[in-house]
Amino acid sequence: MRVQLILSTKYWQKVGLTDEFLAERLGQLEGWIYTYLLPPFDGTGGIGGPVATYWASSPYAIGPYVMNSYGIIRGLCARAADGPDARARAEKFALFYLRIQDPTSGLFISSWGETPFIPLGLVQQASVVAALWDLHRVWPNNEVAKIAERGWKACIRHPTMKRLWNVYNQALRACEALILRAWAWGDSYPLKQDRQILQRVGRMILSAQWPDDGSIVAGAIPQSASDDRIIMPYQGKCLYPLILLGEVLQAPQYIEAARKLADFILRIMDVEQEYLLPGSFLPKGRRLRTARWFYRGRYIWPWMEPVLQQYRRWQIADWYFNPRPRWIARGFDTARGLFYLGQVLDEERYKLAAIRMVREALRYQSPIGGIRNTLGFFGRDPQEIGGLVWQDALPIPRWNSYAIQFLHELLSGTPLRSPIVPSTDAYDEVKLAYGCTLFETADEVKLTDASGKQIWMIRKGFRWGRPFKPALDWNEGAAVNNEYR
Amino acid sequence: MNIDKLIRWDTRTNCITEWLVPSWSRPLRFVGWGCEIGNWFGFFAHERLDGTSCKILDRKLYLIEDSSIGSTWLIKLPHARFSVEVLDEFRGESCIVRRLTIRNSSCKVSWIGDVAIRTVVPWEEGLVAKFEGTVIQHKDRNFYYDTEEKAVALYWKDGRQLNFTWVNRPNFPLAFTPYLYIRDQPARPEVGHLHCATRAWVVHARVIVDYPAAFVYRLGRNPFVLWNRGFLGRFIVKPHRLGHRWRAAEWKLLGRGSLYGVWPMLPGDQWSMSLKINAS
Repeated sequence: MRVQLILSTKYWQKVGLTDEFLAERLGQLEGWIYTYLLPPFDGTGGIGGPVATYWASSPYAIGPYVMNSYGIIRGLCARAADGPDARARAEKFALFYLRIQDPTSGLFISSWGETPFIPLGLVQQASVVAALWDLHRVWPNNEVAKIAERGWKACIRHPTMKRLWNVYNQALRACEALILRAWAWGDSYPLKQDRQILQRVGRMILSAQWPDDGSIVAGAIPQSASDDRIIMPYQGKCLYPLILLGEVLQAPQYIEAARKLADFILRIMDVEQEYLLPGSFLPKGRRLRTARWFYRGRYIWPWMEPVLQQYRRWQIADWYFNPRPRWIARGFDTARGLFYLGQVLDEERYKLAAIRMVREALRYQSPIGGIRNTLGFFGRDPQEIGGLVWQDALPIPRWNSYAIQFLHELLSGTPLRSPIVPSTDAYDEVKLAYGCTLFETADEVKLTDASGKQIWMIRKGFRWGRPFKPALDWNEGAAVNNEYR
Repeated sequence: MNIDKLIRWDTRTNCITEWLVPSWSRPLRFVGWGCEIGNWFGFFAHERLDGTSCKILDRKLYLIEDSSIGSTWLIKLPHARFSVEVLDEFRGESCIVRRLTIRNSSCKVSWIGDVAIRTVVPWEEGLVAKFEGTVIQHKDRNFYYDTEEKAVALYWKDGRQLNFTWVNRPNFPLAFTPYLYIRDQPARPEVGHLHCATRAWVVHARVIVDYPAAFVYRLGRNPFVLWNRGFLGRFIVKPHRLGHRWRAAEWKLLGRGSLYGVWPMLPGDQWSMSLKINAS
C-alpha cells in the first residue's frame, strides 16, 4: 500500500493560504535556489551554498552538496503528471548524482556530514538513493537504477555506512529508500530480506522511543543508540518513514509510534506562540559521562551498546530544554511528516498544524526567495545579543530543498510553473547583531562589520567562498592598475 | 601558416620554447611548457621527461599539417597507467589552443590527483599578472594565486599581453575543480632544473580533486605513502579533523606530512581539458 497525498485545498484555506499563493512562493524559492547552481548551471553540476547547521557552519565551503538537490528531485517526481517540464528538470539534477558516485565504492562524494570534510553520513547516502529510486519509479531509466542499486549496496555494506545504522533518523531514511526501491521495481511489498531490515530497524525504533511515563519527553526518539539528546529537527524526520513502515509492513504499532512522536512535537513546539521547531533536550544526570568512556568498547563487545543505553537511561534524572534555535526552513520536513500522519489517521489537527508550520515559515521568506534559517542560532535569545547572527538570517539551500519538496507535493495536481529567478537588482539586506550587515543578491552574499569592512563573501556559482583576510592583500597592486589597462 | 617560422620547440618533448608573435617586437620565450599529471604517489613532468616514481613507456612526437604540434606519452605511475596526448593547435598566428587528453590505458583502475597544463614565462622588468581584476606584482614569493574564474593574464609595460582562458569547462568528473593559478616563482638555480633557475611567472591550468574518493597521506618527500583504503587506512589521520585545510598541504604532521585527495579512473575512461593562450 502506498501513502498517497490527496489534494485538498480546504486545509490551507483554513489558515488563509491559497494554491496561487503557495505556487508563487514555491516559484520564488526555486528561483532563489537556482542562483546557487554550479557550472554548467543546468543542474548537472549540482547546487552549492553555505552550510549553517546544528554542529557547525561554513561560508567557505560552498561546493555542490547532495542534499541541496534531493528535495527538488523528490518534489518534481510528485509533479510528474503536472507538466512535461518536471521530467527534464528532475533528470538534470539526477545526472549530478550519477556523476558524483565513486565507481569503486558506490558512495556519493560531496555528501559530507555537516561541514566539509566530515565523512558522509548514512542519511545523505540513503537520501540520494531514495531520490534516484523515486525518479526511476516515475520515469524508468536503467542507468539511474544501476547507480541507485550500487548506492544502496554501499548503504548496507560500506564500513562507514554500516556503523551509522544506530542513528535512528538515518536508519529510517535508509528504510524509506528501501521501500522506494521496492516500489520502483513494481513490488508493493518488499522482498523477504528487505522486510527483515525494515522489521529490525522498526523494532530498534520502538524500543528506543521514550515510554509514555508522564515525562516531558514521552514519545520522543533520541538521536542514536549512543546519544540520548533529543534534537527537535530530527524528530520530525522520523515521522514519514515510520508511517511508511506501518503501511508497508501492515503493522499499526509504527503508526502508533508516529502518533506519539507527533504529539510530542506538537506539545513541545509551543503552538500557541509560533509554529517553529525549537532546539533540543539535553539529558542531565550523574555518571552519564562514565557511560561515554566505555562506549568505544562496542566495537569489541557489541553487547555493550544496549547495556550502556539502559545504563544511561537509568542515570537520566532530568532534561535541560533549550528552545533556541527556532528552526524555520528546517521545519518543512516535520510539517511533511505531520501532514502525512494526518492523512493516514484522518485527523485534521496534524494536517492543520503542518499547514500552519508552512505558513509560519513562509513569513520568513527573504525578498529574493530563500527561507531564513533560524532564530537564535547559537542557542541564545537574539534580544540578549542585540539581534540575529548571519547563520540566522541567511537562507540555507540544504533546508530550503526540503521546503521545495513539500510545497511541490502539496501542489501536485496543479500546473507546474517555472522558477521565478530573482532579478539582478533584487537584494536582501539584514542588519545583524554587533552592527554587522548581511547582503544577498542573485550573484553574491556578503557579510560586513559595523565599519562596512567585509568579513566574508560568497560568489554564487563558485565552489569556495572568500574569507575576509586572505594570506595576501588582493588589492596590493591596485595603484598600478590603471597603468596597465 | 608555416609553423617552423612561428615557433621553436624542444625536439625531445615537442614543448614550445619560443613563439614569434607577428605583432610583437620580440619573440616570447618560455622556460616551461607541457603538462604535469600526478596522483601524489608519483607524478609525470612532461618537459623534464621525468617526475617522481614515473616511468615513460612510450612516446610519439608529431607535427600536423603545419598548424599543430603534439606528442603522445604512455606513462606509468604507482597505482596508475595513462596514455597522455598533448596537442598545441594554432588558431591564427597569435592564438594557441592547448588540448590535453588523458586515457586510462590499463585494465585496472588508475588513481589521479591533479592534471595541469603548464606555461612558464620568464620575468622581465614591468611584467605583471592580472588576476581576478587586480594587478599583481612579482615578489619572489612563490605564492599560488588560484582562481575558479575563467581567465588570467600577463601584462607587459609596453602594452603586450598574454591571456589564458579555459576553452570549455574541462571534461573531467565533477570531483575535480578547474583552477587557473599564477605563481611568482623566484630564481632557484640550486634546484637544478632550468625552469627553476629563472625568475618567472608560472601559469597552470589545473584540475584538482576537491571531492576525493580516497585520501592519500604522505610524509614529506618520502616515498612512504598511505591511503585510507584497505586495512591500514583505518589507522591514518581522518581528514575531517583538518577542516577545510586538508588539500593544500597547509596542515603538517610533525612538520612533514600532508593529505591529498585522489579519484579513480576506470579502464577506458578518457578525460580532456583545453586552454587558449592569446597574445595581443
